[in-house]
Amino acid sequence: MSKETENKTIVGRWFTDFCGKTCNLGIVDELAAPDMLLQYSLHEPRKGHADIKAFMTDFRKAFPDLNFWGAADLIAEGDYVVGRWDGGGTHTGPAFSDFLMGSLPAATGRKMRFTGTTVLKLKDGKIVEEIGLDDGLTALQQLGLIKAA
Amino acid sequence: MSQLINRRDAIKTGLLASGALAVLPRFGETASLLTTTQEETNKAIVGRWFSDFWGKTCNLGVVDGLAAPDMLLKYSLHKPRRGRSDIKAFMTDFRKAFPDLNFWGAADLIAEGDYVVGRWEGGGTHTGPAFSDFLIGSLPAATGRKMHFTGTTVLKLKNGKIVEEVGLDDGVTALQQLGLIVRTDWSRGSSRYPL
Repeated sequence: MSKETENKTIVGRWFTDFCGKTCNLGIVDELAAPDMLLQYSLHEPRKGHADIKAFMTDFRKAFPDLNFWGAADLIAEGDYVVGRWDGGGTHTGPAFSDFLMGSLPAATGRKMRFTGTTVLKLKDGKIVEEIGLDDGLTALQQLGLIKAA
Repeated sequence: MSQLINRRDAIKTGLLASGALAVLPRFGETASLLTTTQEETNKAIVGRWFSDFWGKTCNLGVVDGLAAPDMLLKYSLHKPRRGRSDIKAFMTDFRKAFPDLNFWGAADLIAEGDYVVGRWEGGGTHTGPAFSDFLIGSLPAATGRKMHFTGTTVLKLKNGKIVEEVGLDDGVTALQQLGLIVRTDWSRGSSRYPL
């Protein structure tokens, strides 16, 4: 199996178990390098297993129906895999302050649905970096955190 | 990887010199070592496109050279464009409004099959005429505002031409800098991050 095929399989499992319809945080222990960097444009960067698990736990508490899925085939070369995705959720949970552009008070009921592109770097079968660009403009407008001037 | 390339180049040079290339088709594996991969070809095309279409200086002839006749150009900040003249018009107007417009690669290209992914950075200063090709709103003439932001683009190529260029801009950064979006009272009131 080529490195690219192996990496795509790992990333496929990561996307399903970490950001999919249901969340299995055990996937972080299994697939994330100990000092993995998770950095999405809407949120604070996170590093390491505990930080990354905390990110997703809090995110899903605030947005219990959170779900992201692949919108196109993965693209892989060498150590890198690129995923294009779609998804979102409804803010029915507690106040949420992990958006760089402002916080949400509890249970706003607002729905976000947006796309993004993520570049992952893998080494020896573990994810060392996940750097994602969210369509922040769409998401933050839907959440009422930004508006046209 | 780089060792393989050096050995391949050495073989290629040696064989070319000895005129042995003609017999290579009989030696399948060796022949494949000497051909440029689809990914390498595509990365070279995208490299030229980024320099000549998006770079410090613009050469719109690159659109005729590298864009498929019905190429789709779609960036999250702007309306989609299709075909060479539409795409040239996009860049002409953009650079008129932002004369120092310049984007450059921020990391190595990633390529597989028909696809190439580029991560980039750049921007410009709005010293030109009014500009209405942002989906969120228009700029009146010569605001003097500077934008500097990053993005990721996925290009699809077929037979040496770019058929699709679909890019995600960091729109929140760009449009804040241009004064086209603001945080809501709700956001400002409750945020830990000052404007």
